[in-house]
Amino acid sequence: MEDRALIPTVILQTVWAAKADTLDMLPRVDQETRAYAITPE
Amino acid sequence: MLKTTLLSSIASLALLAAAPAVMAQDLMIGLRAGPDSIDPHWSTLGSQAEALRHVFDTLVDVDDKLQLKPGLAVSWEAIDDTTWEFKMREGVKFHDGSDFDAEDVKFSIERIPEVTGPMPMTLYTKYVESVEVVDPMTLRVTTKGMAPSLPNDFTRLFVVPTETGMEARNEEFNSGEKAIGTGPYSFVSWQPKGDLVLKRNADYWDGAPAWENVTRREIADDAARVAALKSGQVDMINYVPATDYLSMKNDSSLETFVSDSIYILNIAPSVKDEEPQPIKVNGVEVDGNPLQDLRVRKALDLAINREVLVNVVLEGLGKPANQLMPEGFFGYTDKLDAREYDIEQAKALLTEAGYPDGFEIDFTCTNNRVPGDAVVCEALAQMWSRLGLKVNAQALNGTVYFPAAAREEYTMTMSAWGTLTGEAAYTYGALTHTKDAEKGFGNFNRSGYSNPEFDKVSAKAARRLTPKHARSSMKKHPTS
Repeated sequence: MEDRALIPTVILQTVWAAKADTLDMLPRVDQETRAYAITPE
Repeated sequence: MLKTTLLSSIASLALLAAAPAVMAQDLMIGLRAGPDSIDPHWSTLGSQAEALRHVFDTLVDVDDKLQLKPGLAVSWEAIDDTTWEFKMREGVKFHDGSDFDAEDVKFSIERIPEVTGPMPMTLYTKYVESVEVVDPMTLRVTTKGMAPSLPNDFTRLFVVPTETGMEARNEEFNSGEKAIGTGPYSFVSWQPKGDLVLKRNADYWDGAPAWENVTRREIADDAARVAALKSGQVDMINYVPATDYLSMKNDSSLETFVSDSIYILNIAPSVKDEEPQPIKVNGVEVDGNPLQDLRVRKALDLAINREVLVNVVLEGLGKPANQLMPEGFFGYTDKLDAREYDIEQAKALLTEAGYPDGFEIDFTCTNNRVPGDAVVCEALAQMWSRLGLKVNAQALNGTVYFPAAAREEYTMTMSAWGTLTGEAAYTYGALTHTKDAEKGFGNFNRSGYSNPEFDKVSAKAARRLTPKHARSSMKKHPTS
C-alpha cells in the first residue's frame, strides 16, 4: 500500500455493440468476445 | 452497475437455457485486437488467448465471472501438499480426428518453456516441478511447494496434441498446419492484423456452436470499427469507445452490452538506480532516479483525480481503483480507503523531495490495448502538469509498446492488467514480486521494484491451501 510500486488508477468497464435485435450475448468480466457465447436472436 | 450486469447475465443465461439451439450461418465480429500468432503458447496477451480459445481448449475453464469450471479436465484435487491430480474428459477429439488424453496435456505443459514468444507463458507453469501421466485419463502435477492456485493458472493452459512436436515453429501454427485443437471452432485461415476465419466444430464436446462460420476481423481504429458496425460490414464490435457509448446506446438501430471488467490501468514508475529514459530539470539530466523517492511516487498518486478520469475522460465507463485487485476477487480487501486527490499535498511532497518546480519525464502507454488507455494517458499527463511536471506522454500501438516494455526501455508506463485467473497470487507474483526468471516470478515487473518483505508475504499466501489464510496474507501486501 505504502510503496506505490504500482499506482492503480481506474477499473474499466467494457461495451460491445451489435445491430439491434440480431444477437444476444453474455458479457464477460475478462472482456473476451467468444463467438460461442453469442447467439442469433 | 455490477448488479445490472449480473441481472443482465442471469437473464441472458436463462434465455440461452430456455431457447432451443439456434443454428446460423455467418458471424462477423470487429475486434480492436487480434492474435499475434496462432501458437497458443506464444504470448500471455488477453487478445491472443481470446482468439485462440476458439480453436484450443484449456485444461480448466472459467465462466463469465471467472469462476473455475471444467474444461478438458472434468475434475481436479490436491492429493497432498505438492501434488494435484486432474481427471481428463473422455471422448474428446482433436480437429484432425485424433483422440485427446493426458499425454497431450503433459506435452503442452512441457512445451511452454520451449516457446520463445514475446510474453512468456511460463507465468502459468511457474509452480510446475514435474508432470506424470498416471493413465490416459489421469494426470498428476507435482509442484514446487504448495500451489493452491495451479487450477487457476491452468485456465490459460491451452492443449495441443503431442503430435505437434517440440520443434513446431510459429510459422507452422500460423499457416494452419499445427493449428489443431479440440475447441468449438477449427482453424481455417489467418491474416496478421486481418481476419481470423473459423469453422464450426460440429462434434464439439460441449455441443456444436451456433455459427457455422465465424470471422474475427481486427479493426484497431476505434472510429473505423464503429463505422464498420453501422455500415453493416460486421455484426458486432467490441471495445466501443467511451466517446461513442451514449450516442450508440440511444441509437435504436443498435444494441449495446455493458459489463464490469477485471482490467485496471496501473502506472509503473521505474525505481531502478538509473532510469531507462532520463528525467531532467531545466533540460539537464538529474543525478539519481527521482522515482526511487517514495515522496515523488506519492506525489504522482495524490495528483490523480480518479473521479475525473472515470466521469469525464471515460464517460462513466469505469470506477476509481484503489488496489490491484477487482472487488470480489480472491485477495481484494475492502479495508483500503479510496485514493486521495490532494494537489497541495502532492506539491509539498515534491518540494520536500527536492523538486519544487517539478521535472521533465517520459510517460509511455498503449493506445490500443483496452478502451480508454490513450485518453487516460493524456489526462494523467495533464494532471501531473499541475505539479509543474513536463510529461512527455506517448501512447503507442501494442506492437511497439509491449516488446519495448519487455526490454524495460521505459521510465514510467501505464498499461492495463487483468487478474485473469481470478486470484491475487497471479497478479502480485507477476507484477510486484522481485524478478526471478528461474522461478517464474516478476515476469511483468519491469520497474525494478523489489521488496523482500512483500515477496515473503506473497509466497506465504500463494502456498496456503486454505483460501481464508491466503486472503489474510494477501491483504498485508505493501505494493499497491
